[in-house]
Amino acid sequence: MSLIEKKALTKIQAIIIALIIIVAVIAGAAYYLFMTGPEEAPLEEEMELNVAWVSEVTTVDPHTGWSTDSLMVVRGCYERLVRLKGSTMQLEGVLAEDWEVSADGLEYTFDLREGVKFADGTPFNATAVKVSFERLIGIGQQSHNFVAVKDVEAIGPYTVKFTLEYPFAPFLNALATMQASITNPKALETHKTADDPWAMDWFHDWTNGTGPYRMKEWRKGEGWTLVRNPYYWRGWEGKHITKINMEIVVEPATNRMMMEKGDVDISFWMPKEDIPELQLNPNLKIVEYPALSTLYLAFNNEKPPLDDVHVRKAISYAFDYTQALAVILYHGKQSRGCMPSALWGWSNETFQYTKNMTAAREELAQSAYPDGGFTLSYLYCGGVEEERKLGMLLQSCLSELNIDVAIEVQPWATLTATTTNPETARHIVALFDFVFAPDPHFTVNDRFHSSRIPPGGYNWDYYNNTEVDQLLEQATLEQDKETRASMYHQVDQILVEEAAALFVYEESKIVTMGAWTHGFTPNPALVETFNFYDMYVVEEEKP
Amino acid sequence: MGIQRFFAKRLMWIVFVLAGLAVITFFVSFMVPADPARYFAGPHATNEQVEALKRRYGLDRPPHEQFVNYIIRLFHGDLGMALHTRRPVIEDLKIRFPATLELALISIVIATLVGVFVGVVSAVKKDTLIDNVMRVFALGGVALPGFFLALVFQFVFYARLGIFPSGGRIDPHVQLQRITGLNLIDSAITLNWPAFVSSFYYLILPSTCLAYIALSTIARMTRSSMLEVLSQDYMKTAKAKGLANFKVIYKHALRNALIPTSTVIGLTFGNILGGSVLIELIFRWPGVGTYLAQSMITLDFPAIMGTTLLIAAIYVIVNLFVDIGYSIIDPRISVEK
Repeated sequence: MSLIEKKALTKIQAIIIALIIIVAVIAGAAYYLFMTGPEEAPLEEEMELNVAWVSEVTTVDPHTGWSTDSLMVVRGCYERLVRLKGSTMQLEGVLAEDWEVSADGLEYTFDLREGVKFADGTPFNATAVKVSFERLIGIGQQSHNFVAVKDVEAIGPYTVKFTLEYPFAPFLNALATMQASITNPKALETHKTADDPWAMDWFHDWTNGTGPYRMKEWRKGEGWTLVRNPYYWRGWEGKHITKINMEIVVEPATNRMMMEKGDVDISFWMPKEDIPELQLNPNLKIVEYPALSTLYLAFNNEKPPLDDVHVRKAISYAFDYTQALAVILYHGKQSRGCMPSALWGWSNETFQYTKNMTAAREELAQSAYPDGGFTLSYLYCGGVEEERKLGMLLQSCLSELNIDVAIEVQPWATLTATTTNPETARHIVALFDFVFAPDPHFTVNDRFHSSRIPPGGYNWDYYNNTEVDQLLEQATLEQDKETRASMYHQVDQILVEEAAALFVYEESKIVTMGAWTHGFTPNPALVETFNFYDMYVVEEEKP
Repeated sequence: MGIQRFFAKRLMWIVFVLAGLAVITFFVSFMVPADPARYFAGPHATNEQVEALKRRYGLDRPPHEQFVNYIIRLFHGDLGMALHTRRPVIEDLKIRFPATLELALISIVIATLVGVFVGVVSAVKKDTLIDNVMRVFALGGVALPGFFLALVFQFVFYARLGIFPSGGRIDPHVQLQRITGLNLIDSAITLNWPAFVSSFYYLILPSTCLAYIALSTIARMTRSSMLEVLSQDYMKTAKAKGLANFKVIYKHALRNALIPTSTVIGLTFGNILGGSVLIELIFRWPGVGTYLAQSMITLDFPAIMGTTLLIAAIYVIVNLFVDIGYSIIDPRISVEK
C-alpha cells in the first residue's frame, strides 16, 4: 500500500513541478516579447569591420604599450602631432598643421590644428600636448625615444614648443610613433588617484583621444569593440568603418575557416604554408608588403672565438641564405646590411654575403682557429619555428668548416635574461627585430652603439667600435636627412665588413582580407596595425 | 557529527596543501633565470625603464622579502599583478574561472548522463552488437585527441553546415549584464532571454566536445563495475524476488557500481575545471586554460602561481566532495575513516 501512496504523491509533485516550469517559460517568453520593447536603434547604418587577432591586447594605454596588439588600438583611438603619409616614410601633419625647427636643432615649435575634439567632446589644445608628454615621460616605461626632451611648453592656446637637452635629429620621426599619442588631460584629471597619479589603471582599459574611434567594450580574453568618436574632426561623411570588432583567434585553422566564411574581414595571422592555397580563393585578397622587421643572428662579438673577425666572416660566407629563404622563411628577402630596405639609409651598394665555401675557408684559415674544431652555442626563442630551423641550417652549414653548433631553446623572458648578462650570454642568439619608428637611429643605434651593450640596452651583439659610435652620434646632430642617410650607410658598411652579426632576412608582412574589404594601406613602420578610418567593407561582395 | 569533523579535518589539509604549493611555485619561479620586467618593457627599453617596472611590481626586492610580501598579500586575497595583462591576477581569474566553470559544469552533466547510460547498456547487453558499438563509441573519446575532435566539430558544424558559431562565449552583439560571470545564470537572473539563448548556443560545441572525451572514461568505468556487480549473488536474489528488470539494474546494480565511477567523474571534473587548454583555444573560450597557457609562454609568474593555486584548490575541493559523495551512494562507507 505504502508503495502506491508514494507513487501518487510523486505524481502530484510532478504536476506541480511541470506547472511551475510551464508558467516560468510562458512568463519568460511574454517578458521577452512585450517588456523588452524595441532595441535601441543605432543612429545610422553601422559599417562593421571584423578583425581576428592572435592574442589578447596587453594594454590600450599609448604611454605604456609597445606590442602590436596595443599599438593597433592606439593607432585607431589616438592621434599624434605628425604621422607617416600613406605607405611612405614621409611625415605629414595631423594634430600639428605646421612646425619649425630652430637653427641649433634644440627647439621645435608646432602650430596646432584648431577645432579638434577628444572622444568626450573636450577641445584639443596645446595644454593637452604638454600634459601627454609629461605623462609619457612621467610614467617612464616607453619614453626611450624621447630622452632628449627637456621641456614642453604651451606658448599659446594652439602653439606648443619642445626644448631638447641636445640636438637630436630623429626627434620629429619619433613623434610619429604611437607612444607620442596625445591623451585627453581631462580624462587624466578625472581618473587619477593619489596612488596612481597618471591614471594608469583607467588608461589601461579605456581610451580618450582625438582619433576616430574609442574603446566601447573590452571582453577580456575574448576581444574588444571600438566605436566611432562622434566628434572626430575629419567627420563621418563618405565610406568609413564605424565599428570594429576584434576577436582573439589563436588557432590558425579556425582563423582560416572564419576568413573563408566571411566572418573575419582582415587578419595578419594566416599560416605561411597556407598562403599559396589561399591565393587561389577568388574571395580573398592577399597583400604582401615590406616591413621594418628583420631576422638576424646576433654574434656575441666579445665572446671567443667570435671576437675574431675572420671567424665571423667565415660563418657569414658559410651560411646558406638561399636555402634559408626557400625552405624556412618563404616571404621577404635576404638582408643587405643591418637595416631593412624599406628604411631610408639602406643602400643597395652595401655588400651582401652569399654562400661561398672557398671564401669561408680562406677566412677561417686567417683566424686563430684555422681548422675550426670549436663549438658555438646557438640560442633561440621557444615557439619561433623559423629560428629553430635556422639553427639546424647553421649547424649543417658550419659542419663543413668543422665548427659545431649546440642549439638551445628558451622562452623569451629567460632568453632576455640570459643574453643581457655578459656571464651567460651565448655565442649566437636568433632575433626578430621590429622597429616602429621611421628613423634608422632607432634600429642601428640601439643595436650597435657601445653604450647600448647590456645591461644598458639592446646591443645584444656586444659590438663595440669607436668609429661606429662616432658616426651614430654625428647622425643625431645632423639635421639634413640625406647626409644622415649616408652616415647610416657608412655604419652599415662597417658592420658588414666586420660581420658584426649574421644578417639573414628582412620580413615582408602578409595580410589576408576578404575581397569585400577595401581601403587598407600598409605602412612598413606600422606593421600589424590598420588605418581603420580609411577602410570600408561592401556587404554585397561577401560570399 | 562525523561528517562535520571530517569536513573540518579535510579543510585543514587543504590549507596545508595550498601553503606547500605556494612555497613550491614561488621558489620555482626564482630557479628560472627569467627577467619578466625586461620582457614587458619591450626589447628597446633602457635600463632605467626596466628598473622602473621592477620597482613598480616589487621585483627588485630580495627573494625572501618578495616571498613574505607574497604570503601577506595572499591572505588579503591578492595574487599579485599579472605581467602579461598588467592587471591583478585575481581580477583576471574572476573573469576566466566562471567561463571555465560554466563549460565544465555543462560538460560533466552531459558526460555523466551519457557515460553512465552507455556504460549500463553496454554491461547489460554484454558482448552483443549494441555493446560493441557503444564500446567503440566510448573508445573514440580515449583514442581521439581532444583538439582534433574540436577541429573536426568546428569544420563540420561551423565551416560546412554553418549551424553553430566558430567559437566564443556569446554573440558579441548581445548585451549581457555581468553578475556571477556564468552567462546562463546571469541571463536567467536578468531575464535576458536573447542572451540566454545565445550563451546556450555558444556552449553546445565546446561542451559536447569536452563531454565526449570525458564520457569515454566514465562509460568504461561504469561498464566494468556494472559487470562485476551484475555477477554478484544478490543480483540473482533481486531477480528471483520478482523485481522488475529496470529496477534491478538501475536501483540495485547501478548504485553499487557508481562508487568507482563517481571517483572518475570527480577527477574528470577537476581536470576540466583546471582548464582544457586546447579545446578552449580552438573554441576561443576565455577560460583558465588559455590564461594559463598564455602566462606560461610569457613566464608570467604571478599569473602562473595564482592559477596553479586556484587549480590545486579546485582539485582538493572536488575530491573532498567525491569522498562525501561515497557516503551518500553507499551509507556503509563511513567518512570517519
